[in-house]
Amino acid sequence: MPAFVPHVALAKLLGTSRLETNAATVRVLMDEIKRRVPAEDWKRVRRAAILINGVAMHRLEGLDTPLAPEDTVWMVVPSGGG
Amino acid sequence: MPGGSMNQYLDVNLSTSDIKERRFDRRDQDLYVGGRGLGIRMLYDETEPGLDPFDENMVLIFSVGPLTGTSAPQSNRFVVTTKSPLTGTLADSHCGGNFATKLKKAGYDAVLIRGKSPKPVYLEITEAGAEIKDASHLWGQGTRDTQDALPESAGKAVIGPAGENRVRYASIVSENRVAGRGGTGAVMGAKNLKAVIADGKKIIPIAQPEEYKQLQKNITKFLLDHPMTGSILPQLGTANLVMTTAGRNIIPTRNFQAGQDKNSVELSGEKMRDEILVRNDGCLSCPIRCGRHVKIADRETKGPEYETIGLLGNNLGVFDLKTVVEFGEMCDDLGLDTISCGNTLGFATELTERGLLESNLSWGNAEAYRQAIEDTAHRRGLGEDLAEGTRQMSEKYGGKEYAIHVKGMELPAYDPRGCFGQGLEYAVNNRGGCHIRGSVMYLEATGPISLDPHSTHSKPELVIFQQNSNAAVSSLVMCYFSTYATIPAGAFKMDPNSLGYKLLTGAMLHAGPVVRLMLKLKNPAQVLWFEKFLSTVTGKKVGMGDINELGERVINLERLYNLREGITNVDDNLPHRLTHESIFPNQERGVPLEPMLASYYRIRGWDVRGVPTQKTIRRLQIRT
Repeated sequence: MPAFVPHVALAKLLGTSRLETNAATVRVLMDEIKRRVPAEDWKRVRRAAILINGVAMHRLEGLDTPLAPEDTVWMVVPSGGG
Repeated sequence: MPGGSMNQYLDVNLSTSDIKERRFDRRDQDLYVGGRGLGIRMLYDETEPGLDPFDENMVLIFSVGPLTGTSAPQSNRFVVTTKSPLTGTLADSHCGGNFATKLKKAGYDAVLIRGKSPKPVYLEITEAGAEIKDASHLWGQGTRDTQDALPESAGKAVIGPAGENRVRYASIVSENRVAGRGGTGAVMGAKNLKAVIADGKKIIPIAQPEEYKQLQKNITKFLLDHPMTGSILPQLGTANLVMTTAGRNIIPTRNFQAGQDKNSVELSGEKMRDEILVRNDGCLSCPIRCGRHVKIADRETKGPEYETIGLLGNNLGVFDLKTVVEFGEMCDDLGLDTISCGNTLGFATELTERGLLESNLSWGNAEAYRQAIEDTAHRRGLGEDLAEGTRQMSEKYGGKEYAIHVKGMELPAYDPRGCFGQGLEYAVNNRGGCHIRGSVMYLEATGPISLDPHSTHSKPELVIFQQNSNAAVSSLVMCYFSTYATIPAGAFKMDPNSLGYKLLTGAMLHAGPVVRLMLKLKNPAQVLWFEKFLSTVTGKKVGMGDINELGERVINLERLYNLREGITNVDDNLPHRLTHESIFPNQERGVPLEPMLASYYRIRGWDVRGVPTQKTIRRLQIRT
């Protein structure tokens, strides 16, 4: 089953830092997540890179990228330091 | 240089107890400015080729810059330069804390230490000069107790047992800050020098005080308004990187066998903030305060930096944040670089797993790692091998293909298989596998704009641009975190999944020719705060092009030093695992280094063997 790891602000809204999903594509997954978050909050938290196994969604098939059982989808926000 | 300089440095010979005040060659000061630049100039000039880092004639140089001691944000840092016992290249390591400002206010831009004391000593520098004092009572002490035992008002740079025992990646510590990389602490230990302390109240001359004051005010406000330096770093510290690097599949995991673990989130900056953070901590005059002060058990202590979390946590399969806090605390007190230590432990664990080394190390075995860290600093048992670092262990036990180092320096917590430009940067950096010589991973993977991490397009140009900028900034001296604020705040508001973002990053990925042009033009404009600060403090008008050229000059002199010491293009390489084993499902191999390397040499004005041409050396006015 694919896994989804949200960034921390989204994780707080979802009440979990990792969830499993039956979604067949990234689009279906994102629709599922969006439904679980209040609309006004979704606007705030949706601006984050969506990565499938570390690769940006837009370098694959975008929202239509199919998800396999072993895939992990992450949403990440910019970071820096070192 | 009328402003920003105390116009002298100390030359201390520990063998003879001879102490002299010297003046810099004015032209060198103009060309290399301070910090990292003057450090490599002095190392090149003051040592014979082929000198062993532990030879008594090796020099150890503490240098500050024209901005040090002023209130310019992020400027209270020192650079320590010598030849690395870990790599055989130059070593320059940078540190915040309170020492830099005190050294400058005592009246010196640098202190050069040569010779070897017959017994443990420390060096005390004041406005009246310098004195070598007995440190027998401090020998064997950790960095915390050592600092506590020395005069409270002084700025301090000290070593722990690891430095005394010449662990090849021993650090130098000032307050809670660490000059970690390259084993400068071991060179200090080899000289029987436990600490250098400084105190003074001299005024730093500023050439244009009114302009400087206004600039200082404006830039402090700018940094505090910027999303990275005003929000992300203060809120989460450098540990803010954990969630991003795990999501990008580039956080070292079990000696770089994977790019994340499902438990990586347990080590996040957010978790640190929510569960154990007591307060933020920071260097003198720095408005950002990215340091962490946390509470574990019944005590308060320093919270770990991202690199410590990446290498001593994730890379070892240790996912308990408090245990990682404790490991970081131990390394700082013993005087060990957490990056090299974590890598070497990871390598030793894989050797053990493969049956090539007999030890009790295993992934996630916190007790075994705790003991190994202690043993490393004291060179006891297995610690005798661990103290030599990953490269030397691989020569003794095998496993060279998964020994994660470049030129002998163990890699930081960004797996370059998910940021190819960073891979090139690791390979060519003069001090070995280091991420802060250019931090290209910020433009590829971690920052607000991600230029296809798996493309080689324009990466050589970006690496050069970033390296030059960093070398200049660390010659001023400022903290390289300043450079993160050069990405406009608007970029942080972009939706990374939008068409606009895709078009922008696509265009930027092909901006190589434009960057090449920028590198060649000596642009007189003053756009960023680096050239503006340097101009107002020194009184000499400096443009963006001068800053780039300063960085280029420093990097070329470092390269010439390395060549002189027998380091060649063969050493511009990456570990076999990182070029041949993929951790991404859509890739068959790792980092495609060779094509990027050839372009890098050409654009740098170096020949095919990576040697700066005479034309390049002349253009940069480098004395050899």
